[in-house]
Amino acid sequence: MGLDKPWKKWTFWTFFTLILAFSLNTIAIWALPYITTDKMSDELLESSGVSVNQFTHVAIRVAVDEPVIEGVPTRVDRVVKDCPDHLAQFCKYDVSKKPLHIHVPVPVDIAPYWSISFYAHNTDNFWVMNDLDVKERGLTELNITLVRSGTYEKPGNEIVYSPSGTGIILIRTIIPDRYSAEGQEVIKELLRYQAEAYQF
Amino acid sequence: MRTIFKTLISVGIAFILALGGLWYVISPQKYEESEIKNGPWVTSLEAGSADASIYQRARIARSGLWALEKSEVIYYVTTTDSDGNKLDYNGVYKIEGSELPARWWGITVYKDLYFIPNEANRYSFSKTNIAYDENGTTWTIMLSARPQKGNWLPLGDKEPMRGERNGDLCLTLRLYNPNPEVLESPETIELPQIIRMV
Repeated sequence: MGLDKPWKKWTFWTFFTLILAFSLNTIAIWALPYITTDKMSDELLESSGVSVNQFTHVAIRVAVDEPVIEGVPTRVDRVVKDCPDHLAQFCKYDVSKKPLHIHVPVPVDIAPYWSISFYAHNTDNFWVMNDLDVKERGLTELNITLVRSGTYEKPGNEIVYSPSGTGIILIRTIIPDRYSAEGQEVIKELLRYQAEAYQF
Repeated sequence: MRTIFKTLISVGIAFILALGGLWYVISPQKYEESEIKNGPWVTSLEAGSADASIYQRARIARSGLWALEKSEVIYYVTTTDSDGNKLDYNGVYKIEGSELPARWWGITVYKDLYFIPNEANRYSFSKTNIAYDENGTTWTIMLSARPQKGNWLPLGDKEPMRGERNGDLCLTLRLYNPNPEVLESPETIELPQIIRMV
């Protein structure tokens, strides 16, 4: 015994709507990290006055009326749940056409924690190295070449493959105690550790 | 004509359902329900990782963008006290803890995912700057709008008051380079207690 014609129509439209809703929902959930990365990185670039494949200045990012350290506005924080104990450097990269070369001085034995981390366009943290890893290698600076795909060799450089053409790089340095006089002295020293990125 | 009309209605309903579903999936409540719990604290070992599902990735994008993977940082978050009651912006809380199993740690308070402006410019306490209790092994942080002695994490707001002090409070505990036991059993390690005083 089949359904009456009106019921068939209702069933069709109900299923059509639910399948469409599920598809749109899945696309939206999948796309959100990409959209967020683009929006946040563009805002950070605009506020710091640097372009793609350049690092922002070392900065303390907080939301309140604190003196700006290196040209980044502090009144409005853009990144949700930012860490107040970080000195941060940010770079939006694009390696879809050329590799990106990065030179980073590392504050070994100065900060309680330091790391350089690479994020794909979908926000996955696909590569990270911290100060202990650097110290273990007996280094005080890193030379990294970020590549989209294929084989690449640059003697002396760490080669990192990016799963996406664009993404972001974050350098986080923990400030020992920003509220103390000693902490302020360490911050002054840490501000000199500026990363550089360049493409040939 | 009727088919076009029905299609438009269907697409409209589907769009509303899809957005509602998205909002539900990335809500803090959903995060708390679906991840690892330890008392009031909630964490995810997949945060920042390529192993994260599209749902976890979307939640992290909304409330903890650019998280580091688990060997670097484990993020514990809570929006409730140890009795399970939602953190109240008008309340006074005592956070009690001891040394945490990580190379470095910090605890930060947020309102609606952002720092709370305050005269002291104080947003967090950490392994480096926390003052320990007299016994030298435990510490206490006071969370309140009014100034407190010792480790005071202000819930003050320099913006003009507009009636009720509203906002969703959230505490985030970051464990940098966590000890192996954190990665092995994040649900059982000893974490700070959050006790409402007023």
